[in-house]
Amino acid sequence: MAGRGDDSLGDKHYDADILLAYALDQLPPDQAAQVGAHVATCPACKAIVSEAQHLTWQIDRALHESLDSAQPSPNLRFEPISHAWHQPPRRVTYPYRLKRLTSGFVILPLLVLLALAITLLVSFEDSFARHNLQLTRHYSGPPALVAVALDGSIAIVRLHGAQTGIVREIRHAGNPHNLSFSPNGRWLAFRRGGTLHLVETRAEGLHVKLDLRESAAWAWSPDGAALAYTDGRGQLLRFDLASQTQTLLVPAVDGAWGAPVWSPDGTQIAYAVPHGIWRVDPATGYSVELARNPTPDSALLAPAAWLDPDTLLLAWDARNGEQTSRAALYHVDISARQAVSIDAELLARGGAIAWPIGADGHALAVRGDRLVALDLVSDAARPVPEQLRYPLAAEWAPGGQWLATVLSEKRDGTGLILYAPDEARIVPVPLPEGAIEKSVTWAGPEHLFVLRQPEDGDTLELWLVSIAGKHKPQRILANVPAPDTSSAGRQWHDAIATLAVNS
Amino acid sequence: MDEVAVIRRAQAGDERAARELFEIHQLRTYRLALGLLGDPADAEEVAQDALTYALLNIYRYNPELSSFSTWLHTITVSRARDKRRRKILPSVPLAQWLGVGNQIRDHAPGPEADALRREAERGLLLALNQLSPKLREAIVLRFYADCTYKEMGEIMGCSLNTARSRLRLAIQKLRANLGDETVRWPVAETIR
Repeated sequence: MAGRGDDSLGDKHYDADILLAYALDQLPPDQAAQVGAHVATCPACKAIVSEAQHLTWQIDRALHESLDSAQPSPNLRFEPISHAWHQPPRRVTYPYRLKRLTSGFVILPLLVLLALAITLLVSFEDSFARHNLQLTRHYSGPPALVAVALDGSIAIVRLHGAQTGIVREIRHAGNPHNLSFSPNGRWLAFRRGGTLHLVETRAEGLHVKLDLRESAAWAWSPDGAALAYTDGRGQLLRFDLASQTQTLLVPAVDGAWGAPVWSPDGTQIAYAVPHGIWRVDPATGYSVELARNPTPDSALLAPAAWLDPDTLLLAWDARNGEQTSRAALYHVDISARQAVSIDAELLARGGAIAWPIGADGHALAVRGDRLVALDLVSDAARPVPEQLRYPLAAEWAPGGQWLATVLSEKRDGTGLILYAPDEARIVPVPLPEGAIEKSVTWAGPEHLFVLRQPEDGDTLELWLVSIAGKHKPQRILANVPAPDTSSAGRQWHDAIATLAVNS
Repeated sequence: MDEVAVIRRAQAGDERAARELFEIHQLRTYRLALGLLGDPADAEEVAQDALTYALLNIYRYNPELSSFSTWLHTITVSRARDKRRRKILPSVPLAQWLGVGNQIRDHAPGPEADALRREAERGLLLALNQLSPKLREAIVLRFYADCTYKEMGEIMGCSLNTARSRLRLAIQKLRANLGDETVRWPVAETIR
């Protein structure tokens, strides 16, 4: 018999815990049947069970009699929750944080002094970095925003003729990752550790912080009014910037990961899960599977670009990309819900696509041993001249007529090359000697921002180039601290972000 | 009503769904807190605190791990413990509360049986107030909240076996505190 304890006659009995559990109907069915059979024939155990049932019934009844009629006062109400419901998560000011941190401590004055000392020390470092930042006073290019990571802070610079200047400085930003402006230029996003920061690009604007994990990734909606992000825990959420509220679109159990991709009209979001790609309607939360991984054991599809909301979504094999630096490219047939392989591979670097796909469907890809310029809408492919073999950076101009590339690590100002695939034309854009070109972005259809690293290697410079030759290349910013790109995951976009704006 | 759907809506940011959940759970949360603490004002504060935390953090709730009630009970028990730590509670508040106008509902057929039962219940509630907070939690969770041993363990932050032992110990202490009270309970109410 499963039990312990002896009575005066030497018979075995169940212990008190088991008998109480039996009296309260808390035993598994098999064990309850065993105990019940014993209790039926054992007067000692039967007496214990009866007493337990009697006492517990009395307790049960007494508690329910007293509590079931209790009513709270009208002070117990939903309104305080309603008030807090619309507050953004963790949107707190530093004074409030300090107050929360120090409340209840006896050594409050000491802590305040310590905080002040640290703040002054860090502020001094920030000011030092900002003080050294060189900004042109005669900017002649299109209106633009630039975000620059300094030592411990971020400066947001507005480039607009004579009004050029720093519009906002975000202090205590640590080592930010992935600086990116919203398409409308109203917000700057960056990640610091496990927190996504959303900062308005105007003085004294809002600063919102969202809890994430370091593997989180995000994408701005086409109109810049919202941000979709995977939080690193498997959830996909939409954060509305106007109302400062977030909506859970995909629960953690679905395992959403990586950067989501918005459809061009902003009505759908494509996202990756472990077995393929899905899309969700951010207005209703309705999700539909789009494609499964073509080879479940070796491929891991992730959305790459969405060119047409009804027909053309592109995906790449992120697992392949991580392993080999060349990643298979797929066309996702939205109506047939399947991924169709494209005869070309993308170059992957650091778990992301190295050469972004242009908004008009142009892509630089590898077919066999050759570099090709693909038009993913018309399926046309043009071999790229040998001269442009494997550029360090490449970005398509709006409209796809030009591809701006950075080619080599030379200091002679010959690293920037423009390529027009339709005309098979290559145009070198000479820059002053003494710096290495690192990356390039378009500022409207006629201008380029070029990130260059001078000989000292510790700083970066931002240059403006007019491809129409309207003016000479102009150095806009200098003495920007260079990120340590040798450390894991650090890229040039961790140091600087640019965006051409309307005004 | 499909509570799972309401929870999903609240997790998606729907304030009306959050209000529905508040309406569904406010009374039970308040009464659980009252059972744990014995003081109506403290119970109200703890209930408001627990419901506020639960609803504002509902995105943290994972239906695969526990029922919403268990999750809310866990928060309520935790907040009641905090409240108890901040304030040394009077030793017999529930009995006092019962004695100052909160009437026990009358289900008994006759006045003599009713008087006997009420006396027994009052003795039992007095004995309940003499239990340690953890043993009291075990009693209230099992007999008021109808929790299983497994749920009691989850809510109290201990193993199923510890929950079972705590309940047995609580009943033993209640029995010891009641002394001869048990033998005076009406025979007619013995469970069959």
